[in-house]
Order: sequence, then C-alpha cells, then structure tokens
Amino acid sequence: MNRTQKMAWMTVICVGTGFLLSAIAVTILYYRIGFPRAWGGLGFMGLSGFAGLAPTVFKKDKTNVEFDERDRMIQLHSTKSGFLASYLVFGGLSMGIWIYQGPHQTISVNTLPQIWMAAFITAFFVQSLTTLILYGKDNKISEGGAL
Amino acid sequence: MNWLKDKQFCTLICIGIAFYLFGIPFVLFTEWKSPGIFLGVAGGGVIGIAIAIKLQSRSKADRKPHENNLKRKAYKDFLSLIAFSVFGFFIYGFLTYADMKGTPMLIGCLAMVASMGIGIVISIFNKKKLPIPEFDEREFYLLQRAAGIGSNCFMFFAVAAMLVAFSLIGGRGAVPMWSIPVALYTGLLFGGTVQFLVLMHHAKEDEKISEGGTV
Repeated sequence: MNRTQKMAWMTVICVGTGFLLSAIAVTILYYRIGFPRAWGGLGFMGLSGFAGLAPTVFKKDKTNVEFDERDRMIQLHSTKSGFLASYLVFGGLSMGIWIYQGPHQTISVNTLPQIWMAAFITAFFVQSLTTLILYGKDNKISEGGAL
Repeated sequence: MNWLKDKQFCTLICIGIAFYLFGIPFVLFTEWKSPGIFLGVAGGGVIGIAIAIKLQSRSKADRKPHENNLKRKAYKDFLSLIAFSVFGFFIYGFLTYADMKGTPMLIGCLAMVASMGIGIVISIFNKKKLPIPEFDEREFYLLQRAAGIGSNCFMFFAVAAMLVAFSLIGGRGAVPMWSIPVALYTGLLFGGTVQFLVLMHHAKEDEKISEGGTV
C-alpha cells in the first residue's frame, strides 16, 4: 500500500465516521427535541477535518520513487470523479432548494456555507473512494502484467 | 459520425421554436398556464439539446487535416458551455416568471428533466467507440489538468461568492432565493472559461513546438 492509498483510507474512515455519527445524532435529537435543533447533530461532521492530517501522518519517503505515471493517471481519474460528484451535490442542492422554496423567497445566509461544505466533503470522499477502487482493480491483475 | 444531419438538426430547432411559440400565448393570454409553461420549457430544452448534440458529434472526418486536438476540444467544450448557460438562464427566467404567475414550478422542472433525459438517451444510443483513442496520453493528461484547474476555480468562486454574501448581509441576514442558481450558473461559466483558456494555452504551446521542433 503506497502513501496515496493510506491517505485515501484515512479520508474515507474520517468522513465515513463523521457522517455515520452525524446521522445517528440527528436521528436521536429529532426524536428528543425535534427539528430545527436536531440539525446540531451535524456537528459530528467536524471529524472529517482529521482527514486533513493525512499528509502529516503519512510522510513522504524520499529514498524511493513512489509516484509513477500509473499513479498520476489514477490521481487524475479520482480527482475528476470527486469534482463530478461535488458538482452534482452543489447543483442538486442549489436547484433543489430553489425549486422547494420558490424564487421569491429568502433563505438564511448560513445555508450557503452548508451547501459549500456538503460539496467540498463529497469531493474529498468520492476522490478517496475512487482512488481505493482504482488501486483495488489494478491489484486484481496477476503478477506479470495484464493479459 | 454526425449524430444529427443538417436536416434533422433544423427540424429539431423548428420543433423547439414551435413548442416555445405555441406556449407563449397559453401563458400570456389564457387561464391554462401550466401547459404553456410545459411547452415553453420543453421547446427551450429541445433547442439546447439539439445544439449541444450537434457540437459534440463532430467526428474525426469533419476535422481539418492539421487541426490541433486540444484547440478543437477547447472550442467544442466552450461552445457547449455557452449554449448550456444561455438556455440555462432562459429556462431559469421562464420558471421564475411561471412562479410569479402562480404556476407550480414542478411542471416546468419536469419538462426540463424530461428533455435532459431524452438528450442523454440519444447520446448513449448514438455513441460509438472509436477504433483509435481520440487523444494521446499527453493530451489526455493536459485535458484532465485543465479540467482540474477549472474545477478549482469554480470552488474558489463559490467561496468568494459566499464571503461576499456574508460581508454584505451579515451572519443573521437572508439572501434572496434567485441568487443561488445565478451564482451556480456564473460559477460554472467562470470555471468553464478558465478551462478553455488553459487548454488554449497548451494548444498554443503545441503549435509552437510543432512549428520549430522540440527544444
């Protein structure tokens, strides 16, 4: 497992844990105090921030060349998938809220960072997940190269 | 392969315009606004899809002999983006007007989703795998890189728009709903333009190299 894969695992685990805990917290709070205060459970998404420590935790090995052309292509593909997912989330949320509320309504300015954060976290999560899937696919090819 | 022949393209455009023109009197002069909205949005969608398919379906045979691949791709994507933006704003305006007149926006949105679905189905069924990849490895890398830079610019634009909203309105204020789709479309246009400029820059570098040889 190379450095990119380790970092991707860390991101998936941090974001996944944050999302699961948030979902549980929002559900419990909804039954106890109801909306809108139950949305406070989303605070657990802050755990995703620990994924930002991945480059510090997994330091570069300067003695070996760890990043070849194949790794670069995987990185490009995963970045593309991450951005595509974030565009979908961003567009879906923006247009969804607009359709739901109607164009003449107003919404709290605090909704804007929430939309942005949802797109941002999705981009990182999907990018990491795609990285792991693409490396996993390659590992299935038997030694000696693809047939 | 050209997915839409000139005659088919003209027919689709005419159908789109006819739908649109037929919808306007319904909205303006009758009580049945919902069918008018549906026709108008569907007409706009058909025109947009016809233009987008026409632009995307230019085949290798249609190319000029020494046309730069990157330049061609940059122009194609940029024109598609412009078409998308123009019709996006157009549909957005139409839906807003419909809402002002009391018509449920869901009808217009259904028409929009239906026309997008038709476009996607046509594209999937008409797409044929080329025997030779369209771009070589280097071009593919540059394309991906340009797309990455464009996407980063979109994200930067979103953050900037958010900060401007916060500084103008304050943390407890409210923003009008119409500003969110406008910000989204503007961001997409900005990101697409940056991508186009980066690709054009690489295409120019390519032309320099091919004229005078590699350094």
